[in-house]
Amino acid sequence: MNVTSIVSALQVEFGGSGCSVQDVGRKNLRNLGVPWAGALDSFAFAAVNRLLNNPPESAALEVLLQGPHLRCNTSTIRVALLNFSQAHIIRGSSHLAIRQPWASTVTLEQKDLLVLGTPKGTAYLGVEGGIKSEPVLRSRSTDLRAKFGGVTGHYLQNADILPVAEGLNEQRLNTACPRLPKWFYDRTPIRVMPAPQTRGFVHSATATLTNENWVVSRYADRMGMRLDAQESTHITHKDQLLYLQDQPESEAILPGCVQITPDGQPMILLQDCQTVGGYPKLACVIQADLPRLAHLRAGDTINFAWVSSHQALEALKKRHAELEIWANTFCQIDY
Amino acid sequence: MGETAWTLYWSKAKRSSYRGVQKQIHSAVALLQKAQVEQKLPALLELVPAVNSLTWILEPLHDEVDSTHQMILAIIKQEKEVALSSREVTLPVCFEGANMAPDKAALMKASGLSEKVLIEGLCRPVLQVLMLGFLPGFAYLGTLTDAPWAPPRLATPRLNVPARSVGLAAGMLGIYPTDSPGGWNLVGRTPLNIFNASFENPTFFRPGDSVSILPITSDDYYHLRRKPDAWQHWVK
Repeated sequence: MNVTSIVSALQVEFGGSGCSVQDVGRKNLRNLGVPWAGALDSFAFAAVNRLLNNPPESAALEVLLQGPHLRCNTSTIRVALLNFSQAHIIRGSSHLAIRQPWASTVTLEQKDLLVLGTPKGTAYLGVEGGIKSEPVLRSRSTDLRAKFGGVTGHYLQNADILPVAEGLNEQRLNTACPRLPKWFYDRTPIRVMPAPQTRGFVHSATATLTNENWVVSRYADRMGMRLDAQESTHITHKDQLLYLQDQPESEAILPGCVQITPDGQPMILLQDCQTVGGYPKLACVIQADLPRLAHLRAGDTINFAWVSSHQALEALKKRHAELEIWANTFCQIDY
Repeated sequence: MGETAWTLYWSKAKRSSYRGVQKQIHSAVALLQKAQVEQKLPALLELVPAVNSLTWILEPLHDEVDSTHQMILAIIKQEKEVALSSREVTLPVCFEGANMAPDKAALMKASGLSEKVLIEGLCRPVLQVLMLGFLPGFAYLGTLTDAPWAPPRLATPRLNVPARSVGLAAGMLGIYPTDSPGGWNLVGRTPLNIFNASFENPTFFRPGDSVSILPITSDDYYHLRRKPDAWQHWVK
């Protein structure tokens, strides 16, 4: 897109922290070493587009830590908030609180400043028609490590510009939902399946993974999260999660893989993970529980449970059903 | 691997015989990609070849996931070595100076080889692109079995390896597409950009390519830096 042709945009007055443009990700390029990127919670990403009746692949803004402040410089634009805990609009001298910042749409008027707070977990800001930044390799997702896609290839920064479609559907009422989709409230163990090297670990390793209370360490980003054991046990993790065979050759890895590093620390790979890796993998988080990982932060506890392929597929069908059930509770609101 | 991906391993061949294994893997990939283009594998998301394995990722709830999986297995079992359209790629590399080749001196010292012998030994074999990964476009070339050319990774990885650096580690030669942290022994630098996200085919290398290393002077290097994306001159 030619910069001069951008007439409609959200201007970033404050970039927040951990904010990036994401969509469903960059597909069918892993053989060339190109990671997927894309929304960490792909179901929440779908949900924020449902609030706006957008096509499902429309790019949105993902907020990991602190929401940005965005100035509307188009006529009117509807945006959707998902999983924010507080948000307000500064319109001239008035100050309008958004009443349901966890799941609602709101119409911004020209010169409005949208102030998004700090979410609990990962939040999404959808824009009617989607964010129109330039696609790279058929996706608008930001590849933060290789630094391309999104707006500048980086997390959002002050003075960035988010191009949006020309204001649409000015007459339409806004939508809100009383609750978040069901997986936001799921506190059951994260379900895992075996990985190619599972049998190469010391026999008790599969039990160690499920018996231990794990804590998300501060080494967590969109590539992956390292876990610490909650209790300092007499045996070190290195013994409990010992890999007995030769280090495997590098092979394909993907989001959800639970790698064990040589110091015995589990690391769950996430959406930005590289495409090949050489650490042995003890387990793989099932697709239905990948969205839940997006909302864990340093210090949160995490437990695991082994499931079968059949259970994993049933759980995935259930997630899709939960999204539909949630979308049936939309109601119209008027500010 | 989870409910979405399957990895098939080729027998634990010795490193020196990976060439045969690689030929089989890339033949399978060529056949599968053909089937994918012909829309015979509707549930297939990704096909990722690696050193001694091939992984396919499927859409787990796709109506035709089972038939796609069976078709993939059947195609691999054909073991038909297709006439590999193995591309022949030349990679120009400048081995001069401590700036471009900071670990060359240490490798010469460890092996007792002269600079000339070390570099000639590196440029003699035709290497193969075993896989791409680590970073978009980062190519793993193999296999270098003799000790002087197969040093272990650095004990302490560098925080910043400059883009286009050429490194050695664990019997492979790797090329960094962008500035990145990294632990390979840096022996030279190529003037070519090996990744360009604005291209339809964004990587200079593709899995299965045959690669010859062409040693160049620093004068050549700076001359070639003017056309870093002229990939067509280097690929046959």
